[in-house]
Formats: sequence, C-alpha cells, structure tokens
Amino acid sequence: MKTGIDLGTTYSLISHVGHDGRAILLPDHSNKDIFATPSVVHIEENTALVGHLVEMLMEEKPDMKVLRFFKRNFGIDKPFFYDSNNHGWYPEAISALLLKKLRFDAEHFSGGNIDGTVITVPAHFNDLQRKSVINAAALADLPLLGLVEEPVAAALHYGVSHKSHDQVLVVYDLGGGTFDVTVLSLDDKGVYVLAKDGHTELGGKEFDEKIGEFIIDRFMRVTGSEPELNAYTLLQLRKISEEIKIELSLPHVNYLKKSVLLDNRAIELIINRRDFEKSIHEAIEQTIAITMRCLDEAGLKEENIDALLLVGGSSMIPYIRERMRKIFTGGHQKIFYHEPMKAVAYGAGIHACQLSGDAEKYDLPPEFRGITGYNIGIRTINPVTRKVEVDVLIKKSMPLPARAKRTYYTTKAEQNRIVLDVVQMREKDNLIQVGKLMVGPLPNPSLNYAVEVTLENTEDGIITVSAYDPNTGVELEQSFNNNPEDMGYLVGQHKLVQETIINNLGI
Amino acid sequence: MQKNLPTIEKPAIDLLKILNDWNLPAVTQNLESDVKALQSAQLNNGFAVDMVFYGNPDIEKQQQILKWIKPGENIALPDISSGKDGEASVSYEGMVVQYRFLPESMAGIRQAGGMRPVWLIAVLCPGSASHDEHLKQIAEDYAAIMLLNTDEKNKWSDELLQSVSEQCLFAKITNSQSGSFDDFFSPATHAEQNQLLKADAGISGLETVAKTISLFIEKEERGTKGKKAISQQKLIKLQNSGLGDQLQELPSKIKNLINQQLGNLDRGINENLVEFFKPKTGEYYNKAKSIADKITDFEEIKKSKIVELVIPPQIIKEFVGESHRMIYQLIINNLKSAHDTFAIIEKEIEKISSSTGISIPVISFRAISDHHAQSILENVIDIDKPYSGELSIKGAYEYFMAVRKYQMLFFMMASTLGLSFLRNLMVVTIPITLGLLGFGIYNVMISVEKERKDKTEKELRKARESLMNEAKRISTEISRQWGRYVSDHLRSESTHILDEIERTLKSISTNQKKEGDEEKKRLQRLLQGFEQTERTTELVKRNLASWQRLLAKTRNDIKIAFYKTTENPPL
Repeated sequence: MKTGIDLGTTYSLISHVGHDGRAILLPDHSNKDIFATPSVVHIEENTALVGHLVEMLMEEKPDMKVLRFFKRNFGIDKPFFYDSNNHGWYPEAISALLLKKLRFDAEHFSGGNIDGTVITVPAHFNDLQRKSVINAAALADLPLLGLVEEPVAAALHYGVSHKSHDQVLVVYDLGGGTFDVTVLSLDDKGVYVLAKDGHTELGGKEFDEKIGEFIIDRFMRVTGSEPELNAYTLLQLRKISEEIKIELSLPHVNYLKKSVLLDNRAIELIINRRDFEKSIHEAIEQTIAITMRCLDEAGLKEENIDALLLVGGSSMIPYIRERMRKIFTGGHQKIFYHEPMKAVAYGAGIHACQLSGDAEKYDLPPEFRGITGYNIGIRTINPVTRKVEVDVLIKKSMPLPARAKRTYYTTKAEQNRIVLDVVQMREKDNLIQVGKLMVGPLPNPSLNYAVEVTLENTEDGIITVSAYDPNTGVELEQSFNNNPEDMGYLVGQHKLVQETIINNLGI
Repeated sequence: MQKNLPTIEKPAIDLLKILNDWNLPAVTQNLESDVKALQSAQLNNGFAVDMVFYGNPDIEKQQQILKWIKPGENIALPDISSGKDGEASVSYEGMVVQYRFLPESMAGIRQAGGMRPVWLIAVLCPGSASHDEHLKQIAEDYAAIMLLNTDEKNKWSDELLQSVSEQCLFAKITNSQSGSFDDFFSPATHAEQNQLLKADAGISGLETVAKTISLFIEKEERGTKGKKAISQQKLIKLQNSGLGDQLQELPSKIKNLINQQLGNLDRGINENLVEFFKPKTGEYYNKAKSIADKITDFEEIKKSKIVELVIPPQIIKEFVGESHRMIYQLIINNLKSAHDTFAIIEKEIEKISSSTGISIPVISFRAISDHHAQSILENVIDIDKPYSGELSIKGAYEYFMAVRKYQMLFFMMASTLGLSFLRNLMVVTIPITLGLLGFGIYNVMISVEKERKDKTEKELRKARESLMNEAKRISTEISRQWGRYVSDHLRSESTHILDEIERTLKSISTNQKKEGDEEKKRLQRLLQGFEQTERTTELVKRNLASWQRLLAKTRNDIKIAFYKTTENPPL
C-alpha cells in the first residue's frame, strides 16, 4: 500500500488512493471518525503517547510535559527534549514516533502494509530541514518514496478533483505553523512549479495566540486574577482559541458569544471579529506581500492567474478571502477552498501513486516538476578582495532536478585537501550552511590541483555534492558531513525510537 | 416580596439537587455557592445595572448621563475612551442599585454565576459604529433594556428596539436629556415588575451556572474518555502480552549462549596449552631446549673412585624459574580470557534482559582461582628425577694393568709362534717390556682421555635429555591438571548459573503472572469505575436537560406575569 502523509505542525494526516482512484484519509485506529492526529507527543521512560491520547491524559495530569511544534526545529542539530533517563530526543526522533502511529492507523484500517510513502514538507524548507524529514522516516523504518511540497500536494488534489486543465494556479497555504505560497501551472500532463516562497514561523498558531491573549486579558479583568498557566490550561486555551478562530471564520459571524472554562473557572465572553482581524492584520499583510513577491518571481501579474487555492485551516479566515478578492479582481478568477484541512494529505497520497508508477492507472497527472527554493553555492574567499563570497552554482527557481559543476583549485603546493562550504541562501545576508565537503587526501598534491565539484538539487529538494578529478573523471576521496547516512547522532536516536512503545500498542 | 409571583426558588433548589447528586467537590461546591448567591440576590432589596457606552461621551454628555442616573448624585464615570470600566452604588428610595460602567469592548464579559445585572442601559454616543449587532448579542443576558440616546444625531433605531424586546421582558428607547432612570423602576410604583425582572435575571444567572456545569461535564467526559482509553489499551496489551512465551524461551537462549561461549573458552584454553607445550615448535619446548643446551659441563663431586656428575645448579634454577614464569604467564592469559568471556556472557544476558523487559538477576561468574593455579605450579614445576651421572677415576694401577695387557699379549703371540723361550731372554724381554710399556702408557693415556671425553659427552646428553624429560613431564602434568581444572570449573559454573537463572525465571514467571492478573483486575476495576463515572455524568446531563425545560417554563411564567403587570399601570 502506498500512502501520503501530511506531517503538519499542529495536525498530521495519512491518506492513500483507493481502487476507485480517489484519495481517502485513513482514520485513527481507535475512532473511525477522527482523521487528524494532533502533532503532540508525551515521552515517559520507554513509552510514548502520541496524538489524542496525550490531550486526554492531560485532563488527569495537567503538568505533564507535552512536546509540540517540533517540526519547527527540523534542521537544528540539537535535541529538542531530554527524557527522564537524560536521553536527548532530536525533532526527527519525536516525529518518527508520530509517523509510526500514523502507520499503525493506516495498516490497522486497511489491513495492508505500507511499502512506500510520500511525506509533505513546506515548500520553503531548506536542505537540512528536508533531510530531517527523511531521517524521521528512516528512524520510523518507514519506506520513503519521496517528499512533496505542501502547496503542490494541494494543487494535485485540486487538479484531480476538478479535472482542471491548462491553468495557472496560486496555492496559498496557511497552516498551523508555516506559510507557503506557490505559483504552478497545471495541465493534464502534470504539475509544474513556477515560483515559490514562504515563511517558516507564521501560521495559525500565531493567530490562536492572539485570541488566547485576549481571553487571558478578559479573564484577568473579570476575575481579578491570572489563570494558572499549566500545560493543561494552555492546551485548553489553545483549543478554545482555535474553536473561536474557526467559528469567527464562518459566514455572517461578526460577534461570537462563548462560555470559556479556564483554570476551573468559567467566564462569558463576546469576541468581535473586527478586533480579531485587527490583531492579525499585520501577519496577513505579510503573507500577501510574500504572495506578490512570488508572483513577481514567476514573471506573472494578478490577471494571469486563473485560480487561487486557499489551503490550511487558517486560510479560512474571511479577512484573507476579502483581501484576495481585492487583489485578484479579474472576473474569471476563482478562489477555492477545497477541503483546506485535508487537501495536502490527499495530494500526498496522489503523489505517492505518481512516484510508484500508478498514476495512469488512476487517471492522475503523471508528471511533476518542482523548482529550487534557494540559491545554492559554495562559500569562497575572493582571492583579490579577500572577502567571503558565495559562488552560486544553482540559482533559485531552477527546475528540479538541477545540477551544476565547477572546478576549484588548490592554492598551495603541499595542499592535499580541499574543504568546501556548501550553503543555501534566499537573501544575500541570510546564509544557511548545508554542510562541508572535504575532498582529500588528493592523490598528487600540487599547486593548482583541479577538483571538479558537482552540486545537485534532487527532485526532493535535497542537495548532494560530489568531487571528481576533471582530467581522469575518477571520483576523489571525499566526505560530505551532511549526508543522512553520516549523521552519527541518529544511530542512537534509532535505538531510542525502536525501544519506545507507542500508545501501549506494542509498536 | 410579593406573593404568588413566579420565582427562581424551585429551579434553584432543583439545580442544587443536581449538583449534590453529581458531587464533584472541587466543582460543585463553587457552583452551589453561585446558586445560593442567586437565591439571596432575589431576596435583597437592590439589583445590578450594566451601563454600556457605545462611542465616547464628551464632558457635557457625561454630565447629562450622570444627571439621568440620579440628579445630584456624586458619581465618577471611568475613562471609557481608554477602555476602562468602573462601578458605583446609587440608592433609590432605600433600594441600592449597583452600576457597572463598561466600554463596548467589555460588555457581555463576566464571570459565570454570581449576581446578574437586571438592567442594561445602552448609551449611544458619537463615534460608535456597528453597535446594533453587538447589542443583539448581549441583549438576552438582561431582563430589561434601556436604549439611551444622548443627542439628536445618533439615535437607536426602532427595528433594534423591536429585536431586543423579543429577548427581554422590557425594552425602551429614551434620551438622557429628559427624565431619569428611577422613572422606570421606582420601588414604590414598580415593586412587582422589579421583582419579576429580578427573577428573570435570576433565571439568566441559573442558565449560566447550567452552562458552566455543561463545560465541566465536557471536561469530565474528556478526562474519563482519555483515562478509559489508556486503561483499555493497557489491558489489551496485558492480555496479548507475549511475556509468557519470552520467559519460556529465555532459559534455552541463555543456555545456548553460555554453552557456546564457555565451550569456546575451554577449547581455546586447551588449544593454547597444546600449542604452548608442543614438541619441537611450542614456546615452552623451545625454551626448555635452549636451557638444556646450556648444559655443557657438569658440576663434579669427587668421590673415592668415581666422580659424581650433576647438572650445574644455576641451570636447574634457570629451568625451574623459566618454567614457572612462562607457565604462570600462560595461566594468567587463560584467566584473562576466562574473565573476558564471563564479562561478555554477563553483558549479553543483560542485553537479553533489557530487550525482553524481563529482569534477570545480575549474573556473576566465580573467577577461576589463581590460588589453585599456583598450587598446581608448585606441585608440578620441579625436578622430579634429577639427573645423576658418574665417571670413574683412573689410578696408576689401571695404567699399569693396561700396560701389562700389552705385555701379556706379546708373550701370548710368542708362545703361539713357538717363541716362548724368548720369555727367558732378558735381553729380549726387557727392551720389549720397556718398549711396550712406553707404548702402552701413551696409548692408555690417549684412550683413557678419549674414553673419559666420550663418557662425559654421553653423560651430558643424558643430562640434557633428563632435563627435557622433566620439561615433558611438566608439560603433560600442567596440561592435564590445569586443563582439567579449567574444564571442571567452567562446567560447574555453567550448571550453577543456569540453575540459578531457571529458578529465578520461574519465580519471575509466577510473580509476573500474579502481578499481571492483579494488574488486569485493577484495570478492570478502574474501567468499571470510569463506566460508573460515565453513567453518573450521563445522568447529570439528562437531569440538567430536564431542568432546563422546567427553567424555560419558569421563564415563561415570569414573562406572562410581567406582561400582566404592564396592563396596570403601563410604564
């Protein structure tokens, strides 16, 4: 069985394409009505609780340590959490627990085994962050077919369900933790990314926090005291805030009256949608600016867009639709919400089908072509100015897979090693280190010894590097300290994951 | 209080009963206090009023409003424009009215339960926008609503009045420039109406308490659901647990491990011994030979007729010393290998323990005794059959007798040749005798020396052989005694450890089964408890739903009674 997993910051879902060619979501093994697993984990000794059980247990243990938003720490090389035995858990390992639980749900429901899966990533995830996702799948022993960007997955689902042809689409994906915007062209041959952009720390979580702040403020004014903000109260606050955000997003709801139970005290509230929109105005305008920048990069204007697809729970906020209507004013343009919370998961299932060669069997668009999200190059020292510069080999927005070669030379006669710093960047001053390529020892060290470096950005957006002797074509001795296989710390993480029993299920 | 008017007494008592039956002390106590507070509020003379400002009143309008509240009363309004709220108490004909002054942003926000405001006075000031919708949201919380205009330009609409009237008992539009608040509720004139308004506000209060109960029920249900789910999963896990199978497989797993490792160790030690003591190529043989080869001379002990030959003591000492040293080193190496093997086994057993989750007791092998090894060495490494040789001492008589031999030989030959008469010829016998004597002496000297040399050489060979035989004996004895000791020790340890483990695992199995059964019972009891909680919660929900239907009826009764009072006199 091939599946697609939407590994979200706040919720995760798993889907697969059924025999009728339609993508379906696979429910929680204990409740067939629940399709979204909260991306929360609690780790204790050799056991872990994942998803709804964590939230249920918090009723009994309000102060228990709950791990959430670990997706935002992908690419950061240090533990996210230390358990009671002082073992450090990296975000990849915590995600692996979540992936194992999703796998269990899927296999339990379908009776089949997963032999390949696609996992979604935000479009703007850099190389390190993508490798973290790959590592998470490896730690969960989940066979990975590939990665797919969230907006692309949503576009795939839209394209399949609307049987849309020859369209230029903007996917505006405002999820729980991240914002992505992608411009794509869609036809019956496939999906082609033209430009993409985004923000890693902007999402529904921030909007929920605004509402949470409002509730606490009113609570304090009415009761005269602050609520005790333990883990359970914070959970309740988050849930209430999310409910309010969703209810305020319903049509014709300008005011919302709600009774709220916080810290065992109940208060009555009225929330004004106008005030809520004011509080998130700045964040929304930021997403609009990013959207316009993305259109620019694709070389397109608003009138060139055929449809705007709004994805992610937070994109349902009416204020966003209103703003989009003001921007995309052409009569032919349509704004779609197509199952905003589920579209990405559906699309991931469809992409899994594409990658396993079953696309035609199910009448799905066969091809997908992404683009690079960053400039990728080598950090060097200019020999004339002695300043640090980046030699860009692969530019942003090049079609994937992208490959480039460059020859570098030794600068001293006795130099028998070359160390190359591979970096990614969007803006000039915002360099992200990918890793170091160490080439050597060189067979016959000499001054101006030539080393040809090939840099590749794969279809999954992963960066690979290799070095050759340009004269003989022979691969030189080298190591790249960011290959997933070279990440020694993950050996211990695999053991941790394997030895941890999830949800008392024996998995 | 007027008689025969509907009150909140019965609904309040019924709600208290529901709370009492539910009996969650942390929750129900507070809510019971809220209900009792509402009951007392009905009996009190005063009531509460919320005055909500839509827009910002300037100083002149503030003065108008204060005058409208009560002329001459010293009240300070809060700074509404900066979102502040405030309170004031005003007395009307002995009745205390508690005012709360609120900006629009704070209207409708209050703690659930507690004394409810009876009146809402919505003040429309310049600068307000989209107030109608907000007002409709909060209107249902009040028994009576006054829509207060403050100027001619901004006025409340009749449509709005119509809309809010449906949500409360009494609603009216008036303006702050004329009349005052006590025109509408004078204790003397409007006693029954005031009582009914308070009752209606009391109903609203009880409704919020009921809403709070619902929130607590939801929380309770979530908590119970969670605990139930976790307990059910633990129970399933226990029931499906393969612990029993693991326990059964464990002894044979450990036995195989121990047998394999100790077997390898035993074989290794014995092979090591064979190699060490191997003739011609073994380390010990070569060393013994090199020491034996050093025997190039004897220590001689002269006796009367013989010379006793012994191997020089320093060579014996070297032989014994080196034998001891080398064999002891070999034994030390064997002991180290044994120690390492035991450590490996102990670690593997630990690994098995942690991977299966079965707590196998700490296994410690008894070390092979160095003391016993020493004792073997002392018993075996010595010269068992010391070499002893001898050489005879040649005196003058022997020389003479040797000479005499030649003489006799000459005369025997002469006699055979018929020349025996020559014996009597001195001229023949003397020179011949002297000549033979001389030759004989020379010959004897050489042959005795040679003989002595040969004999010595022979003895040296014997001595070396003797030493090598000692080496051989030592090799055989050490191999036999040490090899057997090691094998016996390993065998005994293996049996001892396996017996210990089997005993322990049996005990673990029994205990775990017992614990497992107890845990299953405990979980089942817990689940029964959760189910009971669910039933109780369900009952509370049903009772609350019935109560809410009765409450609606009481509210309706209050409405009917109120409308009756408005017939005479009208407000």
